[in-house]
This record gives sequence, C-alpha cells and structure tokens, in this order.
Amino acid sequence: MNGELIQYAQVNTFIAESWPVGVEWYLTSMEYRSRGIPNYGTETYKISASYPLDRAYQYWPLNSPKEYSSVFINLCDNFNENVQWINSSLPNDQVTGYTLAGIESSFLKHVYGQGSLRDQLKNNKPTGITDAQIDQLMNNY
Amino acid sequence: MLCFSCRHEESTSTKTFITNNSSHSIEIIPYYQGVISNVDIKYIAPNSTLPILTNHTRGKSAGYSYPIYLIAVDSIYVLYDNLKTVVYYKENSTGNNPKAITYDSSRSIYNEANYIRKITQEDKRSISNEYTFTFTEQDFLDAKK
Repeated sequence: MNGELIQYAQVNTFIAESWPVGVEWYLTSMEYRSRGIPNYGTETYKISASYPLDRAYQYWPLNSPKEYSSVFINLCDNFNENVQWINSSLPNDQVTGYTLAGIESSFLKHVYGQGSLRDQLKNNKPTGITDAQIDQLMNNY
Repeated sequence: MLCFSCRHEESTSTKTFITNNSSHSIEIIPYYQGVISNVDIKYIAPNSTLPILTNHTRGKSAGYSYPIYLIAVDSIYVLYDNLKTVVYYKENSTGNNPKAITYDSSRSIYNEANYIRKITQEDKRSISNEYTFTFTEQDFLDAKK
C-alpha cells in the first residue's frame, strides 16, 4: 500500500479478499492455459477446476458475501454474465480492458474500499470505457 | 506498538445431492446454446442419491449449490427410463414450451429455494452445507411421453 503497514490496516475486506481472488484466477489460468487447456479459467470452463476458476467465477451472485467478489476478474474479462446468461442476479459488467498488472502498478496502492476503487478506475480507465459503465459495475459491489 | 495481521481465513464447504425417490431411472441432460453438454449429463438410478456437486470456497456463507452451477445452462431435460421427458427452463427463459417447468415452480431444479439446505457442521470460521433436491414418483407421472 501507499504507506505500507499503517495504510494497509485501512483496507477493507472487500479489497483485501477480492484482490487475491482475482490474482488466483489470473495466475492459475495463465499456468494451465500454457499447459494446453486454452479455455481454462474462462466462462466456458467447468468440471475440473473449482472456485474461482469454474466459469471464471462469473456465477458470483449479487446476494453473496461481498468480501470474496468477482470485481477484479470483471474488470479484466470481456464477458457480461448478466446479459450472456440472462440472469438478473449476476453483476451487469460492461467493463473490460483493465489488467491486474496495470492495476497493481498504477493505483492499487491508493485503493482502500469500494469508493476509492471506483475513483481510481475512473481516473485510469481504458480507452472506450465510460464512467457510467464503471459506476454500473461498481454498484454491484 | 501497533500490530496488524491477516484476518483469520473463513471457509465454506458445500455438497449438493440429487435424490431419486421414484422407481425409474433419471438422466439430467443440460443444454447450453442448443447443444448437449455431454460431460454434464448425470444418471441417477431408481431410489438412490447422487452427490452431484462439491465445492469449497473462501468466506463463511450459504455456499454455491448446484443451481448456481446451472446458471449458464439454458435448459435441462430430465429423461425417465429413457422414455419420458420433462423440460426445465432457467430464470427469465424465452422458451415457449407450455409444458416446461419454469423457474418459479416448486419443482424447478434450477431454483435453490426448492432444495433442502442442511448445515452439517459449523464453527466460528467454517461451515459445511448440504443441499438436496428430490425427484418424486409424481414427477415421473407428470412427465410426458
């Protein structure tokens, strides 16, 4: 974090737990895709993998605990589970184009919770992504 | 001196069972974008129970049961004795089969509300859930040839 230990203590559990969910999804997917399973960790992958790799954790429902959310996966992927699976209990995710590496290097140290994440996403949004789309996604969390 | 540490990890284990209380074999056949997902087909012998899904997640919660796993599946065919079928529609389905069992039916396999949830273990930082959906003889009688 920006000020290391003191400021890490201010990070809420939503960020402290959702970020590792995203990192686990990314690293494990990268490893197994390199071993010959091209859709590992995508929304089409199921059966062998478990949380959060099954279906890229896109089944995360809005009424589940926010701590272990799919937010960082949804910032990176290009799949809107609410629309593609026609299910209103899933996040409406029109955001894509972020990378975990980019988030970590540029603004994760300034993120403490949902509000600061929303602000940082708007300040660092990829080309073609609007503030309204970011608001729509973050309203799920 | 201030001392910070990671919070204790919480965990949830969830098992889902499908019980066939009828005297007929059952095959659960999920469709995704018009195609049968062969690896997802499940066979349940008469008067038996199949553990259909087990998962482990972080955090302490009600867990993720089979219906959540079915979110991506467009519709489900249940085949009795390789003879009679019942179609189940997911929530907000656009299908037009008047005999299909819709999400809000008390017999829908999609709807977690139709599963009996049992907490089999719980302590401060972990919980184990079991969900069970039961097919009955009446479900077979209501199926069409």
